Amino acid sequence: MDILGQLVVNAIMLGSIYALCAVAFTLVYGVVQLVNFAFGELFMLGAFFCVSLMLPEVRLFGQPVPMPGLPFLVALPVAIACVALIGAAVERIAYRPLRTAPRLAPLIAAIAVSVLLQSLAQSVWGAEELRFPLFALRQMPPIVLFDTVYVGVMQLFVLAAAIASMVGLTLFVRHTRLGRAMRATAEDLQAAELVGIPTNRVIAMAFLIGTAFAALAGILYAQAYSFAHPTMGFMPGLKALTAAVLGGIGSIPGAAIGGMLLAFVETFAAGYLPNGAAYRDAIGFAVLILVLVIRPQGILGRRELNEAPAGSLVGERQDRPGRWPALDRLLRRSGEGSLALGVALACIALALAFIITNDYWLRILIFVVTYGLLASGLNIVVGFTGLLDLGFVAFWAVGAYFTSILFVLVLRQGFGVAFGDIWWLFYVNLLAGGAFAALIAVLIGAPTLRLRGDYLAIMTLGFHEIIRITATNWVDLTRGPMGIRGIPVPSIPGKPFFEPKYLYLLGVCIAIVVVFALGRLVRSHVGRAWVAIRENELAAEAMGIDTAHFKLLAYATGGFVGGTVGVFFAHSQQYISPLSFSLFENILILMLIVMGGLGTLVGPFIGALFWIVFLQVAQGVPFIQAHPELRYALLGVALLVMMIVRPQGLAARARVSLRMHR
Amino acid sequence: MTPLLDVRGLTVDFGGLKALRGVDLGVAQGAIHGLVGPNGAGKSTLVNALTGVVRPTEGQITLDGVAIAGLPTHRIAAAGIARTFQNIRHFAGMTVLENVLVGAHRHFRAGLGGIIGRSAAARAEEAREVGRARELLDFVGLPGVEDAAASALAYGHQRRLEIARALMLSPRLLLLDEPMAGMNTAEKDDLSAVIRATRARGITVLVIEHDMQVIRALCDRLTVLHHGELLAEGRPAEVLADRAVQAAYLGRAA
Repeated sequence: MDILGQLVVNAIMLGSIYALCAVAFTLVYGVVQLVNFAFGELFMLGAFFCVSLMLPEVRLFGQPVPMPGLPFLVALPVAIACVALIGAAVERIAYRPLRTAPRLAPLIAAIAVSVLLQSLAQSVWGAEELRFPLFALRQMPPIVLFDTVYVGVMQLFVLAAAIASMVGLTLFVRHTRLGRAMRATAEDLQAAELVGIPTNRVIAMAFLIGTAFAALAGILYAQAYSFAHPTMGFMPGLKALTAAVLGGIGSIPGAAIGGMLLAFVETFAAGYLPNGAAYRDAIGFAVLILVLVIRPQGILGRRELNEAPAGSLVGERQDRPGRWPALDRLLRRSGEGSLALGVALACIALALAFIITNDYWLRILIFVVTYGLLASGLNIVVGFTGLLDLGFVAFWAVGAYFTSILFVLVLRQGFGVAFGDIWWLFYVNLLAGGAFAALIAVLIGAPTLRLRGDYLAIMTLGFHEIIRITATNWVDLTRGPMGIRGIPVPSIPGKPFFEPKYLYLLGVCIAIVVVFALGRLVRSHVGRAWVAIRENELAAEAMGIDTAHFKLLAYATGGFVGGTVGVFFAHSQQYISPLSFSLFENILILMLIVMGGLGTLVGPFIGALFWIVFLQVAQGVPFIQAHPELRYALLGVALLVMMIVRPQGLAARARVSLRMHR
Repeated sequence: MTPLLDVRGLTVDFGGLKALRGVDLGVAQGAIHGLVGPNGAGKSTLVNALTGVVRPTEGQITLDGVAIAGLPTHRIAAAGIARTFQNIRHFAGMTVLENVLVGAHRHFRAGLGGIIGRSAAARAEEAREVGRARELLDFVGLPGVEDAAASALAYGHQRRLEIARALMLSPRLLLLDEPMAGMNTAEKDDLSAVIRATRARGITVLVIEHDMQVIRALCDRLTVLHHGELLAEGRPAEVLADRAVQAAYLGRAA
């Protein structure tokens, strides 16, 4: 009784918080069909604003700044109001200009805003936890039920606040003019505009209210765990999104049900399963995936939200004359697969190993090649086939762990095999690791084929988190957070490639093979089938394309590249840990492709080069040295500007021609 | 002689709303067969059911004796039914030629190895299909635009592009869903000529159209749908003279 009762109380409190934040996702998705990933960060900002207002003094950018020291019940509404205004401002600046942009742009913008807000918070408040001050309501003695179950006054407050705001919102949407306008806009934006509804104001209102809910949830979460932290919003944001999808995105009661369901599953799994606390997040995502496979629209959702939205994912071809015709011609030639151009680029890349003698810069170039390769793999899935995949990094991890476990844990420690005797196995593993990752990709891909667009993105995100959590917690297999050390560097007999020069050359050789193979694949009926799926899935089916088969092939191809790069990465770094394969890496890789140009072969490398060079330049700026997180904030800003000004990417003109030339 | 396309008792039920009730339809080999009916009569549902986009609730569909009802869309396409869409669905991110080449998908045999190694067979089939694509672009009246972005074409040309893409499948039967919507008389005449030339290539055509003059001049047979049921079938002149058809379609008293 005692543990059960306490778990129920805890689950209800957590569920209330999830439900509140889920409302934010649901409300905005209902009106503009955008998964606003930034709600997790607005959730976090709510906590920081509230804590700051309650303290007498806070260090901002490292400088002490006096604060009003308000009581909790005053700080709460003030903080919510401030953050709600930020949320509305984000809509105005980042999302409104993108309303007619290619479908991928708003989602990328949301991710960029998320990265931007998180990095800014880290610069402003620092990377340390900010303790939540004690306040009167929290210090009241708990109510004891059945002698063993403790219910804090604040837990009751959380539940009451959740119920009150959800009921209030439901009444608002049902019975007010603005609420009706909101529902009309959700049904059909253009029709609503035609009958005189100021849709821009309605959408801004949805963001304002949604952000207020997210901020409230963040404050309640922070007081429950007694701290605020710049990354605190990530997991709860993901959970709230999960809850919204579980309940049926677009439905307010659905958000409440989804939030409670998720919280109960997690809390009870953590309470009763062996080692459940470590796997609680993974279990939550597993439930999400199960629901999406069985009932994609969620518990209370409407079916059509999972249907193919209209319009191109990545935008139309860029054919208007540009400012630098010579450069445009070169990019177009690269899109057509000019052999001379390819050979020239490969020679330049190889020659760099001999021109650059500085090991530091060579190591940086190895990163460019690694990230460019990863981005090339993901580009097949996102850029060519139009499947939004936020879990791609998992395949990279699979390849890296595959070879590391085999070499270090099995062969060396299990059988005592010396690396010098099996140097060739590394080269075999480049293929085997790729094949293994491709197999996993097919297994993961098969149930997701029915899902489209944003739902697919959420599901792949869930898969990624499950793999990451497993890699962290299955210590016997992966060594857990400690990672695997002593992975041998690639070599030929008697010559280990310790010098970055050789590693770089090896990386470039892999890149040449991969890009060559991918280039030939996309310039064939396979590539045309992929792009046809991206552009119009129904028409692709009607042209006799087995879309399920070709989607799986795209997953497998991307997964293969990811796995191969994983093998190279593990051996070139000689050390891997779950930290190398965070979700942030996935977002970064996606950003690189978008920056370089979706659906191009050179884009991923241009994006990677741009990013890594930017990192190096930024390191020289003193202010950025003091606040290194700002680099990511700047990347977010650059990406936002890019989405608005040039959504097809820097190398848009290198959009691949999908047939053989000569 | 059994017709090329034989539909028996086709019913499509959208959760209580019967879009089609027990429709029979036979399209003879080599015909240009018209399908008309007021908006909401079930014409597009019929095309969608024929191509597997919606699943028939009841009834049989055979193409040249082979049962195709309930097969996935791509299998039906491979079996020999190609279609165009009422609201244009070209591949916006592709050039005109690439769009048409997608229609040739089922004619490619090369595997991944052949593609990456660019085997002689892979090169030959690519060259063959590019040749066919160019020929078909000429055929539908779109010469010299193969490298333009599909989305840059004028509206009427996008419709022609869809027809060329569908013909790339080398279908037995071509379904045209309102191919002339929004066109002027001269454009309709041009497109009618293309449809006749298509039939001359041995491809049977089923065309949905609202313009009765076009139907009268173009079709050998005509089927009228009304409220999801078969109202009349026969030679266009006879069918259009039918009082029940006039009542349903033109709103005249029977």
